[in-house]
Amino acid sequence: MAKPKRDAEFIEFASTRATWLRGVAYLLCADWHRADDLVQETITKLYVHWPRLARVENMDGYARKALVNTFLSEQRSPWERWRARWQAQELPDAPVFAPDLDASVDLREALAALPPRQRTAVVLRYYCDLTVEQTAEAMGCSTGNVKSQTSRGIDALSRRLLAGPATVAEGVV
Amino acid sequence: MDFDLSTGLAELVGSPPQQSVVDVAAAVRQGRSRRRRRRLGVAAASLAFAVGVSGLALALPGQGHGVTAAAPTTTAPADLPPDTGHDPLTTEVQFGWLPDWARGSDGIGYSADYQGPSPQAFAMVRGNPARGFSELRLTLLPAGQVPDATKLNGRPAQRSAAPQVNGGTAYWLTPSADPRLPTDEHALRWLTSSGRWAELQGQWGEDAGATAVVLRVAAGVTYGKWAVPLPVRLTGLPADFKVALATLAPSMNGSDWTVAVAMTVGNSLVTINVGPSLPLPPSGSPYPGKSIHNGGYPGAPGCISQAGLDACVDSPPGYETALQAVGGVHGVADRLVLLGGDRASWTTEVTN
Repeated sequence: MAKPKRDAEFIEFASTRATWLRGVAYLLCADWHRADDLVQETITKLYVHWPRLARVENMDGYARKALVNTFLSEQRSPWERWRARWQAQELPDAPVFAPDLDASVDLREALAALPPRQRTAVVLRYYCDLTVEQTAEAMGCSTGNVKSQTSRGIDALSRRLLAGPATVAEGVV
Repeated sequence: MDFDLSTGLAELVGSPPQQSVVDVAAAVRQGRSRRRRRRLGVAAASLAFAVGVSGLALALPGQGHGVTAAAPTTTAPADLPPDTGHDPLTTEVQFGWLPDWARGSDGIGYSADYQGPSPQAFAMVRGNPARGFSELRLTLLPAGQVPDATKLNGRPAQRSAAPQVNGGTAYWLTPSADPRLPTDEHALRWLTSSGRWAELQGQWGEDAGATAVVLRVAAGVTYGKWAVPLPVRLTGLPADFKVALATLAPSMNGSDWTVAVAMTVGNSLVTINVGPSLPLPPSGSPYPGKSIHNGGYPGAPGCISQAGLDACVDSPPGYETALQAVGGVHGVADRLVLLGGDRASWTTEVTN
């Protein structure tokens, strides 16, 4: 009897959170199809571990963390790793990223151009409204790392979105 | 002009262009399958072992270190041709035996990074999470390089003894994982007969079934120098275009693949992404649809479609100056010939 009850609880949780998770996933990956895949994989993982998640106090936070983990795990593909390294300008003699003054460069494109961990930090801080500590917990890294990733992400967004020096302010680019 | 980032992000997700295809019932079905797989891992592995590993001396962990995983008698899913110097994607390793979920040659990918801090190449096979594996990555370390046995991907890790692989010393490596997350990243490292270390890394369970599969995969690896056929020809570029990275990656669901080549010339960077053609987005849509082209899409500048494939040539703003000599990204795209999705028509004479 316990199993059907647990399944019903899971179905209710997953059904009511799928749209929210899909939005977060889209901001992370910039692709609605892939966002569906990320959410599908995330809720499948949640189901596998569901019996022992009964004592988790913040299930939404747990689900979001599982989503972030799934997304970042995918970034281990060689191409994504290489792109992230290039965009982090670790190659020698890489020129400074030039500000793009084209008005057609929108937030979606600017966000998609960020390296995965910078993008994740920005989304968790500014879309999910998490604190630095909560973001560090979700990303599995230090608060210092969250601050630097967020700062670099905001700076890169500013340069792509604005014609002028970067303006970094809490909540406002 | 200030821009409210939080509001902008909320607006981005506020009007999705299509309905979600997330299927909660499917998650339950697959989740049950994974649970069963985990519970039955040991028994299933033992049975598979007895049936399918004829003549293979393979030890399970904890059954002594004197037993060796030997090379299976099966051959590689598909032998690669030798390197002729005209293919940007080469490999020093090939998988031999692979489990059925690997889908033969179609599930295998390769990557070669020629300009990284420590240039390396590896082969990978995309797995089936429902079968306990999501990906296996096979790397042959450079001669003389001894891997740090205390770390995996830069994270502290624990080493434990593994059966020898073809007579070579081997060990398992497992990072200190967050027990609240379903992560199963592990590695098997072994010393090859050439004296170079090899590594299989991926996500798998710690049951005997999974480790037995990894050991058998390791035992079947072959070493040499091969070229990986690609679905594209690229000719007529000046000699100062240097390949920085090339990769053939099967998709996560195994249904298709993506080829990516990054080239540098001076301080300029050009990337070429090739994949099976996808439908065009609806007319007037602000979203370019599913992108396999690194932000490009069919019909975008620098993108071409031939023989059922799409390719996009891109250069990040600020990096394109040296491309002007060849006509920019359009000039590079004009030099591409796409060969179609049939792997029999792919070539290793990519730049010849």
